[in-house]
Amino acid sequence: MCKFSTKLIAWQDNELPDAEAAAMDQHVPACRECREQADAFREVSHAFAVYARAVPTRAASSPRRWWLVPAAVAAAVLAVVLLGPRGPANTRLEVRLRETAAPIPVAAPHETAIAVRRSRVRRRVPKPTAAWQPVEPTIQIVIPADALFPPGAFPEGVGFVADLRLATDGSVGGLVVRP
Amino acid sequence: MSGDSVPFALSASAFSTSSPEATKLFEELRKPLLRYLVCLGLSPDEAQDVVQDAFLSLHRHLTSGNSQENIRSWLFRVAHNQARNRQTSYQRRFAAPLDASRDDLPDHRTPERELLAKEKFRQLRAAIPSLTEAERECLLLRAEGLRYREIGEVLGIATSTVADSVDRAIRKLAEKCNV
Repeated sequence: MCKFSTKLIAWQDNELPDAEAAAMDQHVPACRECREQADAFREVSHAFAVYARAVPTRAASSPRRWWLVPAAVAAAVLAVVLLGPRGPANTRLEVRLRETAAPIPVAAPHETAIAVRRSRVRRRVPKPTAAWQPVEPTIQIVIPADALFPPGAFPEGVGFVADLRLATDGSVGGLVVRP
Repeated sequence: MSGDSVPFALSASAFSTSSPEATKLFEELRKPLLRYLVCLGLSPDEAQDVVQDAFLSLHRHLTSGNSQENIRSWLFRVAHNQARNRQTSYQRRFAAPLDASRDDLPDHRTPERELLAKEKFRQLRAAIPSLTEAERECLLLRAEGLRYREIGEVLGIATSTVADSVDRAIRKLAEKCNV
C-alpha cells in the first residue's frame, strides 16, 4: 500500500497542512493506486452527502405537492397585484370581502396557515367572454388576509380562497380569488 | 407541509432585533441543521423545535454580548446537545431515514443511470450501520460542509480524532460499497 494513501481523505477535504498538501498534489496524479483510491473515496463522500441531504425535513402530509404551495401563493399574489387595479369587469379576478364567522380552515393546529387541497371546484357561473376554459384538476388555496395585506388591514379571521386552474402544459390557466 | 413556517416566523422575528448577519445565518443554516437532526433520528417536527430553540439560544447568546466567532459550530453544538437531551429515539439513529423508492435523488436521467444510482444508494444504506456513532456524526457534519475543527467543537472531541473518524468511516463505506 502506498504510504501517501493514508492521507488521501484529509487531502481531499483540504485539511492537510500546506506542505503535506503540496506533496500530495505532486504525488497523487503520478500514482495509480492513490488515484483510484481517491476516486473511490470522492464518490463515496459525494454519495453520502447526497444521501444525507435527501432526508425529509418536514412532516409528510403531502410530500409530492409541497412545492405547489409557494408556487401557487406566488401566482396568487402576483395575479392580485397585476390584475387588481383593472377591476372585476374585464378580468376573471373577483375579490369580495366579507367577515366570516368561522375561522379560516387550516389542516390542523400548528400547521401553516396556508393550506392546499386538490379538489374539483364546482363550475363557476360561465361568462360569455371567457378567455380560457376551466381545466381540471384545480388547486384551491386558503389565504388569510394578513398574508396578502398589512396586519390590521382586515379584521382577524378574514381570508380568501384562491382557485387556480392549471392548463395542460402546467401553466396557471386561470385564477379566481374569493373571500 | 406542516410546522415549517411557524418556527421560521418566530425565530425570524426574534432575529430582526438582532442583525442582518444573524438573519442571513438563520437562512443559511436552518436547513443543514434540520437535516443533521433528522439524520440523528429526530422526527421532522422535533427537529423543527430543536432548530428554533437553537436559534433562540443564539439570539440570547449574541444579545448578551458573547463572542460572534464560530457561530456555525456553536449552533450545531447546541442543536446536537438538545437532540441528545430530548431524544428518546436517539439510539435509532441514521439507520434508515430514507425511503429507497424516493425519486428525488439526483442524476436519474437514464434508466441505466437510475439503476446504478439506486444500487449505489442501496449499498450505501446497507453500509451505514457498520459505522460507529461518532463516525456517523462526523460524516454527517462533514456532509454539511463543516471543517474538522468545527466538527470537533460540535462533538467535543479533538480535531485529530475527527480526522481519524472521517478517514476510517470513508474507508469502511468505500470498501462495502465496492466502488
